[in-house]
Amino acid sequence: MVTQSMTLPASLHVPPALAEQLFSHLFPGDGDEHGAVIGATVVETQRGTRFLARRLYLAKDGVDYVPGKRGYRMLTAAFIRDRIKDCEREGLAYFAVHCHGGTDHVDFSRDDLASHERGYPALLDNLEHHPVGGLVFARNAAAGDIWLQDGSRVELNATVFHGARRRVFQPAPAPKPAADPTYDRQSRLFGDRGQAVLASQKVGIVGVGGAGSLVNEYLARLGVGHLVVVDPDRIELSNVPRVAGSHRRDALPWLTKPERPQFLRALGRWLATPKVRVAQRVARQANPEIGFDAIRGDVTLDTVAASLTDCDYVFLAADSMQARLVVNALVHQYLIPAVQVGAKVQLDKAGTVTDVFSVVRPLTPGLSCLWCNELIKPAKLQEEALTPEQRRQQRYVDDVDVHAPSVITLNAVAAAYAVDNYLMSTVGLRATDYRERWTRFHPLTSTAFDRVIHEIPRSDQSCPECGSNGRLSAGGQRRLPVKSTAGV
Amino acid sequence: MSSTLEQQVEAHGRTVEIRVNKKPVEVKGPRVTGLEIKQAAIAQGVKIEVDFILSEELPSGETKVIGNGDVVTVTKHSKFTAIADDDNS
Ligand SMILES: [Zn+2]
Ligand SMILES: [Zn+2]
Repeated sequence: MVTQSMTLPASLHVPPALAEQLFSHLFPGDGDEHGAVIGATVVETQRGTRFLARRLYLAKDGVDYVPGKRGYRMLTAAFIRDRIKDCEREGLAYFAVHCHGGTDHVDFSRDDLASHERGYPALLDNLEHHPVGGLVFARNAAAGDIWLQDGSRVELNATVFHGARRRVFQPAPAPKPAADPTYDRQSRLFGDRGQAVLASQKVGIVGVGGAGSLVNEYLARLGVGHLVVVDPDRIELSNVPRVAGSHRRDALPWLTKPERPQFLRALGRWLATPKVRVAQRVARQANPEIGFDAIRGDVTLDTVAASLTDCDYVFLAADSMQARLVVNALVHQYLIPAVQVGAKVQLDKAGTVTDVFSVVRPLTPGLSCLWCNELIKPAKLQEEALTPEQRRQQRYVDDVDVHAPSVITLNAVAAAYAVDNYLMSTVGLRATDYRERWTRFHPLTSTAFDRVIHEIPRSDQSCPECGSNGRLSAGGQRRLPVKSTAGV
Repeated sequence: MSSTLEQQVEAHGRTVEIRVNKKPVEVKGPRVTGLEIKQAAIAQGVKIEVDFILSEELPSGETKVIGNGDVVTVTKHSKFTAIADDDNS
């Protein structure tokens, strides 16, 4: 694997647990400089190069991080050598990290830059296939000087810290953007800067049925700049009561109504409007300039899943376990936060309603995981992998072809709450101590106390999906759990 | 080998009445796995399935997901909820 050139801009992405460790090491309150090394997976996307922090090596003060010969402090050669070897073994880019004083502005000193010139050519020779570089942090700012194997040198545009509160560090605060009168009312809440952040976002939506179609409309109207919408299905008449923006004519009722012959109904279903086209129509009505990728396909196919790897956030509003598996992997492997939304009307064998609820489950890289919480069931994955015919033969499983109850208002509660979560985190309105929770809304529950449930998800460091030795920050080094389209 | 009554009870487990979806359920406590709680609840007529998601209700008002293999210490005040793991969007 050779990384010879890079797509710009370059950004570094840091999962929450690693960010916390890094910050308490760099800023313990003594006002001094401290050092570390980050090993990062390199992911090339159309929107630029993403470095995914996978390893953090803290340099011990006085042992690994010592008084410098030319500058104030330096990492010892032995520490650097061992970390280069670690990065080489794991196929990671190498970044030396230290901190400066200050808050919102940071830049390398002349000594820092001179040390890069002296030292980095040798590090590049040792690492052979990946970039090396230096990062300098202030409390709210970060800059990076990245050296590529081809001899070119690029700056890091942004460092993104993921978590319930997303933070983006740059060398200096971005200039104030121009106000757009369209968004006057909402930018009174989150500012022109917040509005500009939304315009720069690329957000994926997996499934644009009941819940996803609402998410699509909310995001488009909020001014999110680019949506990637994935759904294999076409509109049926029974979707119309809950798919935002759908018309009866999208379902071609004159062909698909029950009294038509079988072949006409099949033709009608085949000609009906794809759900992603309805979503596109809705999004364009809200914002004619929106970037919109309408992908009529299944997220479990490699090419479809790959179209989500440069998103800033993903909404998972599809019912299948396989979709859960793929999106959960994207979250941890590519450091793309996501949220699973849905609603459930549960019936017993006699058809009596036993429970009704809407769910919102934020998925944070390395922290909250559908796999750790047993929301991905191996048995159900296998069952979904069967053809409909095979499934019919295995009658012991519930008939998946029978449509479960689904109601727009239940989906709307989940969709609005999930988009609200995304919004508050993205525009930076959250308090530092915000604690993320999974949430369920039970409208029929007798006591008010139990109508909204805040749930602490499990997290398991040894999890193969979200653990630091599993998919976390692995990027393209791992295959996503998808089916190959090659040769199809 | 002699042992106190308490040790014997500990070894054999004592029956603790907990709540699962507000219904009383007797389990052999005090230490019990998530799966054992669901199995006991099903055996005692609570309308759930073994693959439902189990959560323990905490004094803070929040709930905490309990995996099948997770061991929890239960008391007569312990309350759990179990809900279906799939949903329909
Ligand atoms: Zn410096
Ligand atoms: Zn996990």
